[in-house]
Amino acid sequence: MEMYADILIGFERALSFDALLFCFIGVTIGTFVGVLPGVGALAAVSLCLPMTYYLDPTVAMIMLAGIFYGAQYGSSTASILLNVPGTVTAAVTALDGYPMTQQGRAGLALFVTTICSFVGGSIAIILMMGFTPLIARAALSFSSAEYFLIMAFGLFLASTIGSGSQLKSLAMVALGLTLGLVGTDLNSGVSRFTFGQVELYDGISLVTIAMGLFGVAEILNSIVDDTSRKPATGKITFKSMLPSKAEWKVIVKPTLRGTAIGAVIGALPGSGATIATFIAYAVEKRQSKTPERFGKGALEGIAAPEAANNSAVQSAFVPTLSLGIPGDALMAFLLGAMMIHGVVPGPRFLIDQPQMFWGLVASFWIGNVLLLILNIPLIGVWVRMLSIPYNILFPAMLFFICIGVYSIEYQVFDIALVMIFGIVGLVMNRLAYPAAPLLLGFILGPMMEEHFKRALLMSRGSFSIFWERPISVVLLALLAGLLLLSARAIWKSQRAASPSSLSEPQMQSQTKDTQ
Amino acid sequence: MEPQENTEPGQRSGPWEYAVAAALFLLGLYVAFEGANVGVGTLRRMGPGFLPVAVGCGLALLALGILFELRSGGRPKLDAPVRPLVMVTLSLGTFAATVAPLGLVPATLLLAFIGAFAERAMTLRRAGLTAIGLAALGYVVFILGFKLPLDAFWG
Amino acid sequence: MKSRLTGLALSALALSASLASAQDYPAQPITLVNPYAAGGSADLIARTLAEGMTERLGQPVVVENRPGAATAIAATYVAQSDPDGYTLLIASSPTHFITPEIQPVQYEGLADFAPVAMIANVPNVLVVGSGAELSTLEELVAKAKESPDTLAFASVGNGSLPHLSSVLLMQETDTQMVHIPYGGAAPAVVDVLAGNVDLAFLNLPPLLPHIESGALVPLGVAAPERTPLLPDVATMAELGLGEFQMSTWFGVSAPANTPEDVVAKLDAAIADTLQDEELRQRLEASGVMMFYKPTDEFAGFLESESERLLKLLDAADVPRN
Repeated sequence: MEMYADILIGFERALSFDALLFCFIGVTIGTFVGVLPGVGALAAVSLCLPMTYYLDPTVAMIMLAGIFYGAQYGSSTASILLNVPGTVTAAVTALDGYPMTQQGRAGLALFVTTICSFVGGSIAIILMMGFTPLIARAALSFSSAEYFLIMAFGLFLASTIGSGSQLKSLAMVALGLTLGLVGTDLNSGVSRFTFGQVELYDGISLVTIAMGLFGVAEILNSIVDDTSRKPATGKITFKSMLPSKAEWKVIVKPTLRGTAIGAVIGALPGSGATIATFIAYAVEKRQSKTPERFGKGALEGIAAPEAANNSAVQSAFVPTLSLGIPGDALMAFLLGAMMIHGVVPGPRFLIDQPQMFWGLVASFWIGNVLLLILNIPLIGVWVRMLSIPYNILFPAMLFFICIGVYSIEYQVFDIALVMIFGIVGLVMNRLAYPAAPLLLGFILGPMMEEHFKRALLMSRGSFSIFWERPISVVLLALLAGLLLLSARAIWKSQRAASPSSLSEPQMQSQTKDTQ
Repeated sequence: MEPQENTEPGQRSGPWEYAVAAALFLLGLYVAFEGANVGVGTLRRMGPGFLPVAVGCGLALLALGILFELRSGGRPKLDAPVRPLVMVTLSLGTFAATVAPLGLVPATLLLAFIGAFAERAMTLRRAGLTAIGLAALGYVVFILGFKLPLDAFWG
Repeated sequence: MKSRLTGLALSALALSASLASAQDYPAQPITLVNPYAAGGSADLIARTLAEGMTERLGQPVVVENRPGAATAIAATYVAQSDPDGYTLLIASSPTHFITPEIQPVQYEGLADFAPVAMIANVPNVLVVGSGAELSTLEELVAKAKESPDTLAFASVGNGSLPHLSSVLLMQETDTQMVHIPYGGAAPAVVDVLAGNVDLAFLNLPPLLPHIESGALVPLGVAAPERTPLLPDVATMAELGLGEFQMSTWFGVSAPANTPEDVVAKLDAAIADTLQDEELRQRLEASGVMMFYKPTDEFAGFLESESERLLKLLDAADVPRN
């Protein structure tokens, strides 16, 4: 019962005038930062940190956290409208969001992502309220063996994200893994495939790959058929943004599934929103009766990953606040900011400073409501951006890509990389090699290698570590089940192969235009 | 698993299809070869070269599979957009070369001005106005707003 | 001959320019390049220092984070900057000798920098998880001796200070333990907490909440003296391990050939900043210890520290470039 009293105190704190004001400022800055492709939330948070020195610590954290999750709301905007993803999670939303824009359904896509972001974020916050201590303890029982199995699961799903030739999808996973090899091997300290370039010691930057394969490739692709490409703005009435009854029905379950996936994976320190988003997308595609619609503007294909992304972002606060363990660079920064304000997150935080903890959690929810109110009217503004002539828009896109990539580490090298990946992306697009499996292979490969090697170091070389622990047994069983299911699917599809191939040439000519 | 809609049965694969698959095959061999040089180790105690060898071999095998699959059809042509390719490469390259020595504003002007001509119908006036507009926007957003540690101009 | 003359003339010109600049230095904002990401101890030190230096030098000192490639990105950038005192580096053992030793970088190391001053250090503390049921260093060493290679220690990468600290411990106590590298301190702490790894030498700040909650047990402080944050925990030297010092130190360096009077001006500003009692308390509360050494002492320290750590790198079998 004491907890409910604490939650009430938290809401009281979060609803006070200064908290509300700075929450609003935070989420507003976050939204705009998120919309600009490439300018990460980290840059905005570090910029605003000095401004918060003079604020009450709770209010300061409310504002900084608001920028962070506010940016997640905005991050899908540029990827849906222009196919320029500033974050990897946005690249997943672009898979179906951008085709929707091309079909003149941009308003609907943005509306759905806003709603799904809100639902995902809100449910994750409720889970956080009820289960933080439990989640924190569960996160500790994940060791490298379990992480490896989760990622193997993700990688297996990755091969199903792309449409078209399975061999080409798998080859792109392998190419992603290959690109992931670049950099210093953690275990031995040996540099692999760095060609003596300092810029490559930490590996290729993920943003250059995402921006190149999606953004630059898209620009190269779109300039050619500019005359044929009339930006399909559609009607920007409020009504055209609203999903129909049937569409509402389509997104309910994917949103809930995405939320659940995001909440669980987001709470594991270190894996975070990216993997959750990919898995949520792959799960939707896999269990859909019409997987061929994915990649061509399926509503489920934006609902699930958006819900997963925002739910993961909220639940990532659990390990940060309750264990003092940041999952990524941004969380590390927020943790550092708390320490500057004299607050030490960790196991004692919830007990010693319930007012601040619950005030922060309550503000997350209020922030999500504010984001909803803020974002829906903005959709019309963003969609109008599409009516800007493309020959003004694309130089602007090039500029934002350049500055976004350059501002990560101020390496000219990264601009060269983004160009190379742009050309690679164009060729892949023309020859029907899917880009998403490459991205996931690139993200998961290095993590899998690290965890696999570490698991074996922990067990001193015994493989039993992968099936001796309770969680790993469950994961192993899931993985085996998935393998069996897809083996059955292959067997079935081969028996029914001949009739379905009849309609292919026709479908092909459609997808070529929308790609 | 799914209907292979992208292999386009009935259309013969063009040279690019074969070239790309062959390039992937060679890349796989190269990665595996380099990996073998840095120490493969054993499955229980993997060396830094273990994964490169595994991934390289996998990539090469998949590329062989694709080469085989291409015999039943693929994309006949690449349709490379030559003008955008050249101009966009030039524009990004110019930005990369000038952003540090000349500063953000001149680099942006060059990037947008050169990039704009990726489109055939571009006029000097339009490209110039776009470039000036973007440079101003970039200055306000990134130098004044985000205070990125970049010089607006040289010096 | 002619080109040689112009060369001479040019260098004379450059000399007079630098002399002139030393007179009215600083005449423009100074950039303090931090090779570590925003949010960590180094960032806190850099920002606090920059604040104080700004007051004292009359020109803004701006912190610029250029993380990456085990500090090589920032170090290369500063090493190749003009030696005019307007680009400074937060120095640490990775920037000055460890990274140039193990990575093929574009700068030499020590020779590329003009040391300005040592500013602070963050003690490394040897911790074990509470599940390990070890409460003293003696028990740990006894267990490690009893069965070699059963205990594992976490580090934040090959050649990192946590790695070298453990190697030193094994050397001093004649034991063998398994090295498990992590990508950063956070995941290493998680695995020590969960009992997946037995011990680790890590920077104090991220350990503090867990030591307070009892989930991590501190066995010794690898610093010259005890830290006020853990007054009851003995130093490794007190525990009978001789000169066992493995603090993560931070200093300020300029590019080599920076005029001496510019360095002196900077040193004076730093020394004065570090006298500030309020600032000292602020840093100490976050686990950072003031550790000022003027230019010449810092330079001497760098020489001996470099020699000592490179020997440990050999002992640790870290592959070189």
